[in-house]
Formats: sequence, C-alpha cells, structure tokens
Amino acid sequence: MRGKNILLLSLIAMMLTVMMVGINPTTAAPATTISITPDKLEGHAGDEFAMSVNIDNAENLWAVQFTVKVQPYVSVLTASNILEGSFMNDGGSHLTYFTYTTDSFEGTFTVVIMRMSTPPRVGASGSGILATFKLFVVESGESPVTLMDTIMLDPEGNYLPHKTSDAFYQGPTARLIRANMPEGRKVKAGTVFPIQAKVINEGDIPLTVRVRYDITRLEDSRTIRIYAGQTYSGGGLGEPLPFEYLYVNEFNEWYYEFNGDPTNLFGEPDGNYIEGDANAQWASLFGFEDITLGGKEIANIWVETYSRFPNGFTENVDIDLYGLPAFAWWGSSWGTTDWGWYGTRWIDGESVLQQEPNLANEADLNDIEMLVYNYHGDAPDVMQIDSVRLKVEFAAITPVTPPEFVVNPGMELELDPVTWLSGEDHIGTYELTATIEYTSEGFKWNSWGSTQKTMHFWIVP
Amino acid sequence: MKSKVILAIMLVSMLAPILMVSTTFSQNGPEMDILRHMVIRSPDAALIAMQTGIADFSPDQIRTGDIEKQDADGMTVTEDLGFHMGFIAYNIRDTATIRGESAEAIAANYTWRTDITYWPLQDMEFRHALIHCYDQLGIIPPIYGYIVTPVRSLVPPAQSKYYNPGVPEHPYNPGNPFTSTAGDGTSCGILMDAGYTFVDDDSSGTVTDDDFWRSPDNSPIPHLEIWTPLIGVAPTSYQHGQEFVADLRNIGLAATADNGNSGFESLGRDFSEYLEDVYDYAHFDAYMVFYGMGRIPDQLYSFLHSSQDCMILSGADGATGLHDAAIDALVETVKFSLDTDDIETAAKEVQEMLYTDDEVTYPNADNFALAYMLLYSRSYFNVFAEHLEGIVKSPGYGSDNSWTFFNLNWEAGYERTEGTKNVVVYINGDDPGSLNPCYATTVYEWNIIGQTQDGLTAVNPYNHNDISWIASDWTITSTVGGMDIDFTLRNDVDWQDGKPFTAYDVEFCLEFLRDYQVPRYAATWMTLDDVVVTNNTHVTIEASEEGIGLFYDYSGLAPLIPEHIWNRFGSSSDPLERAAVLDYDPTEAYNVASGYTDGPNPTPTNLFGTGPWIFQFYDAVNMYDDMWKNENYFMSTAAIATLKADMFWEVGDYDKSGVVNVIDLTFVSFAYGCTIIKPCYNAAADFNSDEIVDMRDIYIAAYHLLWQKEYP
Repeated sequence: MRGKNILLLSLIAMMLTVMMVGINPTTAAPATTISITPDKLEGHAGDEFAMSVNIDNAENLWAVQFTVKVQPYVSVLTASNILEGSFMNDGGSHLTYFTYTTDSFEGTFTVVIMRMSTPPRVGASGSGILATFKLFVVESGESPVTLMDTIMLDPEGNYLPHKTSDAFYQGPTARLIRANMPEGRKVKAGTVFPIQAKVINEGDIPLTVRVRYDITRLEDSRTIRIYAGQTYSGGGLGEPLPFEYLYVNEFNEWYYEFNGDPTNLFGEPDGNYIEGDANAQWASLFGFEDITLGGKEIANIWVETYSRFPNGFTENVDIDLYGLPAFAWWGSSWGTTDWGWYGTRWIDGESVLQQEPNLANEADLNDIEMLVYNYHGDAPDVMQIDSVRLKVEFAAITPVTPPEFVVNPGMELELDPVTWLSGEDHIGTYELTATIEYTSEGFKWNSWGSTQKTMHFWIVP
Repeated sequence: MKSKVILAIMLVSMLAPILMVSTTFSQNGPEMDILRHMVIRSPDAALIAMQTGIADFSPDQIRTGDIEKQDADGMTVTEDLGFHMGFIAYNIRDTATIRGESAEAIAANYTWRTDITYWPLQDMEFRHALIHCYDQLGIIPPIYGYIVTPVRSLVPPAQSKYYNPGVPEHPYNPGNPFTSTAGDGTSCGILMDAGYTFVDDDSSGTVTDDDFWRSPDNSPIPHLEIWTPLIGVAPTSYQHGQEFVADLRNIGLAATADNGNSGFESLGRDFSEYLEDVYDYAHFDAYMVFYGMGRIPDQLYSFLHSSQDCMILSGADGATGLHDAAIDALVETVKFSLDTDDIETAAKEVQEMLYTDDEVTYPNADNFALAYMLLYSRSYFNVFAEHLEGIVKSPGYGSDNSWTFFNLNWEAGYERTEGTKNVVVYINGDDPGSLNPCYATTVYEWNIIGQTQDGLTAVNPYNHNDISWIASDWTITSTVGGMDIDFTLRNDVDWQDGKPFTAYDVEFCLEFLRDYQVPRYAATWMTLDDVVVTNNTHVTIEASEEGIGLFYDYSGLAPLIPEHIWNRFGSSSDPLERAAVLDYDPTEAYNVASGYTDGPNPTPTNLFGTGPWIFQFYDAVNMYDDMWKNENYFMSTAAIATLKADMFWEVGDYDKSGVVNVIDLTFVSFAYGCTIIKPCYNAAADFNSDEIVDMRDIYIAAYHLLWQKEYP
C-alpha cells in the first residue's frame, strides 16, 4: 500500500510539473544551474583537461543524476577519472552514495549522487562541485560537451527544476568546401567523367584527409562507396565485374595418367580433349596464359572447365582441380552429358582466390600451375575435359585502398577526382553524398565540424 | 487557452500508455506475425540490406564503421558485454616459495627466482598500490574504442546473476613519491604506509629513471616482467601493458637501465610460449590473458581453488598461487552447488574478497586480494531497423534472444507488412545445412530451429535468474554420485500441432536421445540413468552426475522432439537406424509416425516443438525461411509483458518505469537499512528479496543504471 501511495505521489508530482509548464510557459527560468567548466576548450590529440560539473543555487537537493555526452564512438574525446565532488557530501561530512556508468559507444557517462540518511532527510543547498572528471583528446575534431538527462530530486523524491549549461571542445578540423558534379549533371553512358571535391584544413596542424562519396542509384537502391582519387570501372551496381579469361597454354609433365594428348587442354574449346577413365588419375602440371594487371586489382578468380560425362552425369565423379605449389583445392568441377562450361562445387567460398589469397598479384598468378585429379571416374563414368580457364574478375573500384591527402593548416586543396568509366548498365538517377574524413593520429577518421553535401546526377542513354 | 490545450494533450499522452496496457487485445505468442530469416553472407551485403530496408535485424556486427554508419542512420544499435574478460595476474607466492625454499615449493620441485630476497607481489599492499596506478578508464577507450568495457571483477558483468557490482573500486590515483603521505590512498602513499621507501637516487627532487623503491627488507624492488602478446600479434594488448608500465614509471616503479632494472617492464612475448611458462610451470612474475566463458562462473574455481594451483597441478588455471581456506570453501560452492542462489552468494563474496584492501575484515588478504587486476570485457553489437520496438538486451547473450522476439514489433505507421501480417526480416549469416534438431550444429541452423523450441525453465534476460516456464516448479536433489531433478509441468502447454505436452514427452525425448546415442547431446544423455513419470505433470530425471550446468542441459532438451513425429525409427541398437535419426529431414510435410494420430492443428512440416514460432518452409533458391507466430502458445503477449516488467524490477526498476535511474535509487535510499519487521521496509525496494533493503539493493540498481526494459 505504501508503495502505491508513493507511486501516486510520484504521478501527482509529474502531473504538477506538467501543469507548471503548461499553464505558465513564461515562468522565469529556474535558478538552479548545472554546468560544465571550463566551458571552452582548445587542444590537440594527447591533451588532457581537468573538468568539473558544478551546481549553483541548489536548494534541498537529495539526489542528482546527469549525463555528460561528447562525440560518440571514442572519436575525439574520452572521459576518465570520474570522481565525486564535495557538494553533495558537504565536504565529506554527509554520507552519500556515488556511482557512474560509462558508454563509450554513445560517448556518455552518467553520474548519480544521492545522500544517505534516516529521516529527517535534509538535502544539500548552495553551490559547489558535483563531480570532477578528465577529458582526454584521442583524435582531431570538435565536440560539444553536453549535459543531458539531468534529474534533481528533493528529500521527498520530487523533481527540482533546473537548467543546464554545456561546454565545447575545439580541436583541429577539416571541412568539405564543395563537391563538383559532372558538367550539367547529366552524363551520357559510355563517357568517362570526374567527381571532384575541394577541402580546407581549418586546424593548426597538418591533417590527413579523404573524401567519401556514398552513391545510390535511386531506381534500384544499388549503392557504391568510393573515395576521391579512386576509379570506378563497373561491377559495383549489380552489373558484372570486368573480367579476363586465362586459358591453359603450358604443360610440364609431372604425372600424366589421362588419355589424350595433354596439349588438348590448351586454349579455347576445339573438340580435342583429355579423358580420365580410372579413379585417382593425375594430369599435371598445366600453366595458364599470363596476365598484365596494369592499374587493375583482382577481386575474384574462378576456375571453369569445358567438360562432359559422355556416359551420363553422376554425382559421384568429380574433376578435382588443385593449385600448385600450395596444393590448394580449388574445388570440384563437373559436367553433364553435354559439353559446356562448368564451375566448381562442394567447396566453401567457391572462389579460387578464397582458397589462395596470394594469387591476387600478377607474379604469383602468372606462376600458378594446375593439377587435374580424376575422383572416382572409373569406367564407365569417364570424364572428358576440352579446356580449362581462370576467370579473373577485377575490382570495381581501384585502387582498393582509398587515397589519402595531407593538407596543411589553412590550406585549401582540390582532391584527385573520382573517375567513373560509365557504361550502359550504369544508366539511372544517382544520389551522391560527399563526406570529408580527416585524422591526425590515424586512430579515427572524423567528420565532425563539416556538413555533408548531397546532390544528384544522371547517367543517360 | 492554448496552454490548457497543451496541458490536456500532455495528460492524455501520459495516460495513453496506461490505458493501452489495460485495454490492448492480448494474443498468444509473439507480437510479430512472421519472422523471416534471410541468408546474407557478407558484411557488405548485410550493410546494404539494412540501409536499403531489405532486412530489419542484423546480428553480430563486427565492423565498427558499419556500426557507426547504421547508428548515424537512426537504426537501433544494441551493445552487450560478452562472456569474456581479460586480466593481469600476479604471482603472489611468498618469498620462500618463489626462491624454491618453502616446503610446498620443494614438494612441487618448484623454483622461480633465486635472485630475490623479498618478493613484493606476495604483499597485498604492494598489489594495492599497483591497481591505484592503473588508469583503466584512461587507457582502455583510447586503445580499444568502444568495443570493450572496463571491468573490475573476475566475474564479468555478462555473468549477470553472479556479477557483484559492489566490488570495491580502486580509482586511478598514483600520487607522487615526493608529495604523497603514508596512507593517503595514493599508490605512493600505500607503499609508504606498507614500509616501502622511495629512493631519489639522483637527488633531483623529481621522479627520474634513476629512481626506484626499496622493499620493507630494504632490497630494491626486483625486476618484474608483465608478459603481454607481441605487438605484431595483438598490438592493443601490447600497448595496454606498455601504458600501464608508463604510469608506473612516473612514480619510480618501472625497470630502467639507470635504476638497475628495479621495477616493472612490460614485455611482449609469443602468446603460447608464455602461457606454457605460466600454466605448466608457474614461472612468471605477471602476465596478461583473456578468457571466454559461459553463464556459470565456474572460472572462479579453476582460477582460485588451491587444488588448481598450477605449481602443483601443471596445466591447471590457478596460476597466481592463491591459497586460502575461505576462498576454497566459497569456490567449492560455486563449482558444486545445485542452488543458483547459493552460487550467487558465494561468487559475490569471492569477488569482493578479490578486490578488497580491508585487512581488518580479511586478515589473510595477502593470500588472495588483488592477485588479479581486471582489464576489460568485450562487447557485442546488433543492429535493428528504425521503428522496430520491443528489443530486450541481455548480458552475455545480447539482444538476439527469445525475449526480443516475443515483443518485437513495429512502431505504428511504420510496419513492414505482407497482406495483413507484420513481418520482420532477420539476417542469417549462412544457409542452414540441416534443420534436424538432433544433428544441426551451426548458429545459422539454430537461429531457425531454436525459435520452434522452448525449455522447461527460462532465464531472466536482465540478471540470468532462472524462471519457471513449461515447468512451474522444480527441485534438484543430490543422490549418491548424481542428482534427481523433479519437474512439475504446466498443464496448458501444447506441441505446435496442438497435442498436449506432458511428462511422458520428457521421458520419450530424453530416452530417445540416449537410446539413439545422438552425438550432439552425448555429454548430457551419458549421465541419464532414468526418467520416471509420476503423472502427466510430474517427472523425475535421474542423472549419474550433478551440476547446475547439467540441470540446464536437461531443462533445455526435455521438450526437443515430439514422440508422435520422432518415434518412426527402427531399433536403436541398429547403427543404421541411429544414423537414420541424424539423416532425417523434419522439414518434410507434416506426417505423424505410424500408430499416432494427427494433432488438432497440423503444422506445415515435421520441424516443430513447443516454442513461440512455427516453421513454415525454407526456400533454398531464394535462401530464406518463414516462421509464423504460434497463436496457441501458452503465454499471451500481455502475460509476457507483465513478466518482463517483474523481471526488470529485479534489477532495480523500483517504479517499473522501464528504465533504472536516480528515481529508483532514491526510493531505495528512503528504505535503506529497513528490515521486513520495520514499518519503513519497502518490499518494492528489496530487489533481491532478502527482507532487508541494504547496499546490495543499491548496488543492484546502481549497476543497472540507465538500463531499459526494452529498446529503443
């Protein structure tokens, strides 16, 4: 019953608060203020500031809760050494309970301080320090230091009106001045067009900067993320990645137990094949045509065989393909009664590159050799292979690692453009949002203090 | 006039939630109509699916950039501490043992450091000084960002029921050898008070690399190494150790060439090599390590019980050399008790003892206190679409839990609908290979199967207390070499096809798993002696081993499979029939085993249990499955909501407002010190229901400060 009474009183108290707000919106601001000092901070990564949360003109304060918020994600500031001040405990003469909780993701810490005593309960009055803490600067950027979700209660559990006063930290920042769309914002498919951004370092130390473009094709919600200085050559909007085939063109005999001349595997399908008719036969070693990457980067490598099971498909027979010298299982190619190109099965990941990540460079890929293994291909389940090829897919965006630009204090810089090699399958309406990202420590790419710029362009037939 | 209108609107808005609770139509089962698991394998694709509205719930986020992007887009990001923690442990054996001269050391053929005359790490006050020089909040966020949370207990917060939020704090306060005074609470003051003396070797009046401390026997502090992983292997752990020692250096406690290597050095070593030195030979000064664990804090036993001392039992987890009879008794309770409340009490006391500096209450504190200096616990992140409501966070388990799926719903006006049904789309990280509960192993398979299932007992998501579920009551009794578990079952629980779930189903299910030797559950059924059914609602499980973990296993497995579906195999002594059980695909169309009749509400397939979601199909081409809410579930949405409010009250929500804050704490403070026989006692403030409102209740509310019953 007592609990219900308290609840009722609480509800009434809440309603009274509402009524005060509602009936007399012009009531003078409450005299009690919670504030953060110092209220203006300037610094750089590595600096530390001694901070305090103060209260002025409090009356009969029994318990207080407040949250201090800085930029989230541990991106600029982090708080530590959160300690109780002297106000609530009256310089140590009154028993209090002090606790806090931190949330690094949100960039907040929340403090509760309440007095502890038996009735008659008397709250703290006057002015003083509620808590102290330290702010440590982890990265360039700016950050409000805000008080939020403040609750003050008197010894009966009633809310006490109050106002808050925040602080602000200013560190080095960079800002996006503009992003230039293609001329007229309409581009004919098939042309190469740039997207360029200009930035300024508004801080007092050099900052490493990049500009990110989040681009969405509105018709199908396909998105790509590309940075200043990168080239888009297709493959990021659902269209096929650009690719090149590498056919077998070398044979260095290690073990060869298949039927037919091993050179029958060379080149594109031509009706000449090799044939396995017994379990565990080897055909090795085959090399592939060389590739010249130039500025392209490999995204995927797939292996395919032009093959068939002339006496009918059986799941029990595979054409296992291994990469040498690692002896990495690329997967099991297969076939049907009819000649055709077939990929691999049974293997997680499927891509050759996932089995051998080192093949992502030109030299290793050009050195690769292949062993063909006949798994359970006993007669009459013979298998025939006319051709084997590697399908090398190239990254849609190159270079894969976004370029970075060092911008000196006060300097404006036109960054290298995004270069878009447009094609027919890029036709559509695009929404582009440009965001600057800067860092001085390499700890976090920040955008605080700079607004994003959103605009549209069209790729038309 | 305008102000009155505002008042009226505000009052209505306050009353509306109250009215909703009392008048909302209550249905059985979950609030959402359809739960769809969509297979999306890559993090890139998952991000795009969330951003484009293809999916609504993306679990297990690992890329901070993705998390921040989705947070910035207004999605709900939940963060929960995992069953994980890391610490620096000290070798607290006494000087004689370290030198290999004590009886114990001789018996164990143990010698570590013969070069020392005094081993400071044996001294609790020395360790106390170290922890006050550890700037935990100053070091961790700048290194790790937000993916970890500082902790100060050998039981991480995720082991919620057993975590002691009242563990003493030792805030960063290193002091200064020139200005601190003995006993002032700073690291330097603590050392001075304990008989250590600072040597200003170069008489500079400031702390330099020439300076060092002398032990109470006047010998310089020996060279002490803190081993961390190598910088190339775990750069953050390496940096963590370096920064701790950098702070020690500021007060003259770091080893330098100029001070004769007196003090600490943080040294990166091959992880497996130093773990071998530590756990196989107890050859170490201090080391950093990280552990994953489960729901029960039995790591306390393996870390702390004197029988687990790796000096005696090579390879055991008790590296520190901690030996104390009181600790032994408590951790034996943690390890072997069948009563979770007893485990809780013992675990919490141990945690307090481990971080105490109170040598009055604990005269033997040298034996154990501050042997472990806790670092952090790792967090896990899930992302939900904006406008999804009813998300329940649970320490250790995260927000991807059954309580979330009960009340997950769309904010009015923002529903994803198909026809008249509300739908939520969950990203499953891979396609399910098998949906056979006797065979499936991957989390992606159990994301589906698990939704069809229930346990006999359930878990309070906020504090991990056991709660009744299909079983309304239970008792666990120790027997000679084992235990008997007596379950009393509710009489209103049905299989999803409408057939009643009874004690005979428990008997069938557990004996089926044993008789067909289902490998996945071997650790459980190998302990099963018998299942004795008294009547439809009473059953006793007789096990040949005891343990609270085994109890949970039985509770979870008892309703796994319905007899009228699974009693379709031949003799369990036939290996081919046992294999057939594992090969069986229950996603075939509903058909009961020979000799049984259909249930009144046949399900689409034979994959069903007693749980809140009914499996409909898996589309292997488009790679998604649909689950529909079980409208005949034994719990209504209103009952679940009430239960959640009650469970959340247990973690400090005095006023059942749905959030724990200063208001709750204040009302607890009003009843502080009152026992049940006093008029001032307030049961609503007695969160642990121990008939007294005391610091434990305050700690409960304080630890859960800002927790919400549901998110957002």
